[in-house]
Amino acid sequence: MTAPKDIFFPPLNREIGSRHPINQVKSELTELLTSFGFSVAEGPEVESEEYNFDKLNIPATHPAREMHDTFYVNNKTQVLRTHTSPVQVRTMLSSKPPIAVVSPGKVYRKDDDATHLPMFHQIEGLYVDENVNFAHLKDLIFKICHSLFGEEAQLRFRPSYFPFTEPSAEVDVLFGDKWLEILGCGVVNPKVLENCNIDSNQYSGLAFGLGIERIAMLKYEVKDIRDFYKSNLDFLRQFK
Amino acid sequence: MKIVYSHLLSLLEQQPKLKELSDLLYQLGHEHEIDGEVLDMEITPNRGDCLSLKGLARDLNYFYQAKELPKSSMTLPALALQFDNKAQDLCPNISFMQIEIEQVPSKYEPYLEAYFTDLGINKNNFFTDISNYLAYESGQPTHCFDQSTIRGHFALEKKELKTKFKTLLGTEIELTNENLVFTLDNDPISLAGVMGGARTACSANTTKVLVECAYFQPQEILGKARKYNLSSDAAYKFERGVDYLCQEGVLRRFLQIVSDHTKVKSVSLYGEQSKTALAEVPYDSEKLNAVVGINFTEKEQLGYLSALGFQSGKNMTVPAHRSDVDQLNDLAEEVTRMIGYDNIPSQVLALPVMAKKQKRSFEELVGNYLVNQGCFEVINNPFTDFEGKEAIPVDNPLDKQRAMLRTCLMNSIRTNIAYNQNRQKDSIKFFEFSDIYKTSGSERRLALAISGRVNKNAAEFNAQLDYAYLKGLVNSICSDILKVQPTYELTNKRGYDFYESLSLNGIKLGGLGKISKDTINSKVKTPVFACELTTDNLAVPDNQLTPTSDFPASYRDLSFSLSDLDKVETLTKLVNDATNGNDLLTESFIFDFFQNKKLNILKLGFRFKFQAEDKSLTDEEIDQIMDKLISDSLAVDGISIEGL
Repeated sequence: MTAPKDIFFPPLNREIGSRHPINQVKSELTELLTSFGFSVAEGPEVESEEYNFDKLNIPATHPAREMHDTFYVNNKTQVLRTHTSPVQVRTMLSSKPPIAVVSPGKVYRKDDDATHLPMFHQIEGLYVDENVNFAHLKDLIFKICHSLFGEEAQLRFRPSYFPFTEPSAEVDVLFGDKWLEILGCGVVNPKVLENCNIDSNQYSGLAFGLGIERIAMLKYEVKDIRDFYKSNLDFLRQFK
Repeated sequence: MKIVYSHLLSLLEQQPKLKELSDLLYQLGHEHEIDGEVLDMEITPNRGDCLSLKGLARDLNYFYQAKELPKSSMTLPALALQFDNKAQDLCPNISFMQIEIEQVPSKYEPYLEAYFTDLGINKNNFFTDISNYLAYESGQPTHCFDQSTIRGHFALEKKELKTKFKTLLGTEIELTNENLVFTLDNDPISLAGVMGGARTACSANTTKVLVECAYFQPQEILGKARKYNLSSDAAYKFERGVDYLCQEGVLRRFLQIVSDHTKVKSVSLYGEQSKTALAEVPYDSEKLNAVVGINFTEKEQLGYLSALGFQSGKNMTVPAHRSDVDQLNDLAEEVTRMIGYDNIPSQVLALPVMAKKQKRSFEELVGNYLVNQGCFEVINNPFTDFEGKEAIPVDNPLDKQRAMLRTCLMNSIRTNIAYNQNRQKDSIKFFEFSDIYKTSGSERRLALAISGRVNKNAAEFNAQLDYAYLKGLVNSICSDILKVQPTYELTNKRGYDFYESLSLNGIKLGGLGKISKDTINSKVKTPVFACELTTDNLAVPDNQLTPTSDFPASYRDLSFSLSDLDKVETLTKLVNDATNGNDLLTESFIFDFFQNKKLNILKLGFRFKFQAEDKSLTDEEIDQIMDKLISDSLAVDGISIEGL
């Protein structure tokens, strides 16, 4: 049989593009968390100090404000949000428990070196209801980490410090023989609930936050965080 | 904070192996790295009490039993110090010990020597060395004044200053604004809680010292070292909170160390304490269990808490070194740390709240469409040096180039294009969704830019991405996703060679055009076409399903000759209006475009689709519609149809 000549013509490949790898990971995480029952909440990136710090139990004199190293705007009356937690504040102020939201988005800290960028992405989750405790938080974190890194992933919970949660924990996942920090979490500090007009005697909450760049670097084995933001086509083409 | 394993063991009754100790420190929340015998501790900012051997030993007490190091128990005469504490609210507790020794020792006891050798720390002078070691051992900073320099009115005060100050390290700084300082006759001699001054510093010959040991309110010290660019271990500790009742005990330990090394000729003690009451926290074992999700008895909980120094009573009394504990949840964390977070069994969490049904997202649909068209999404940071009319300045920018928040996305996109053009990328299709911020408020924007070759294949390699390509993408977004036909208006815009504004339903959303090459930092001459739209109020409508016809469709093609390019828009509008206004004419589109400038030929081919829901259309019915369309178009000046 003679081959039809059509098959010898060069095919007209048409390249498809891609979403940014950070947004891909953000979407995957959002999809995962909404599948657990969380709704998505969003808020402004230029925030008041009240929502970014005060209501989250980070008073002006607290050393934690140094940790954040904040960008101030509008004659220091506002900040570029240092975490997506103000979205949770807004949610708590505008709705009644039970509350289950995740807030993905950009956050800003005054850092710029090989491992820190002035802008990066977080996804944070909040669940407020009656009788929520640390053991529930562990269950949720196991589900998240096992979904991200496989059922066999080994986790380590370490006590940590976040002014807005108490008890607070950081969670490490074992990669090879190295523990890598993946997320921060904790039981919502009753002071935060009260600041957001939620009766801390009746309700309790749990909260967690993940750095999206961190997850993306692990997932794609990106060594330098700055590669995400050079807009180099050769880099972006690898995330189709 | 670096500590040495064997140094920590000297404060523990039991002697765990390094690995076991390391694991337990992790369990308690004290992250660290190990280099030989040195543990580089990363203590969380709320645990200033753990910034020392003693502090860590206290935290390990439940497991390994902390032990007290010897301190002088001798009866100390009162020091007749004329000290004027004008800042009692900022320094409620302060003690001084005056010590005179016979001679400065020529060598140190092994425990003191080991501090310097094991950690590679340089020695200074006898008293300062003890002070530094004691901060490492106890967590409490002390400051040594050479007693011979303390002459005049000695005070602690917060005062407005604008004066040069030479630190004991020899660095000269300028003190400005309000500072808490020790003064001699109104001149600052020490930046309280941060660093002493050269004028009153001890030297290798000092044999009579005035040791100051105080509790400063953390908020008073916070940020001071950074303000003056000083590296201060004392400030680091005071900022995080120290034991507010430890002053005499620490000075007695200071005296003990001095006595271990040389003969003390005289010693006396001065102290004032106005902050003495220990904090109390309401305690309820059941509530504590409820926070954690455990079922421990009160006895078990108290076993952990008392080992940490808490005293049970009607409420739980908090030890003076634990300024971070002020509520039940803090106690819950203490118990949980002792049990080990990893040892708390999980409890199944099922969220009772149903996720709200998400509407189809404009960004998701447009993003997917653009990706399918070969576009790549970029993310840019919001910082720029462009001082637009409505730009918001960053009060504390990283640098001058990033001192403003961007008021549009296009400048970032220009940078992205230049980066890639300068690296010989010849087919660039970028888009970005982002917020922009102006003094008038924030907006959500979509930016889209194309430049270079259409595609890398035999048919499209030599075709260039052009304005029509961009406009086609934008038209499809509007008409296929938003189900609204855009309208355009030619206008001027800075940074563009030409620019058309875009409106949907009469509302101007932005526009598109050809970017002026001189605004792109690239030597490549390939044109760049770009679009930026405000997308805040753009909602994707739900699809409204209309009945489909099972009857055959008929097609007619018509080629129009146009006198000028601007007739393309006129004719397109006329055809679109006709299509929208007739149920039988279900679709029309341009299938051919031909231009020969030399021969002055301009042709536009339209295809028309006719179909009825309930019957097969006759030629007469179709001709009637076509005739009307032809006559309407021929009525327009500059439009003709060959053969008619």
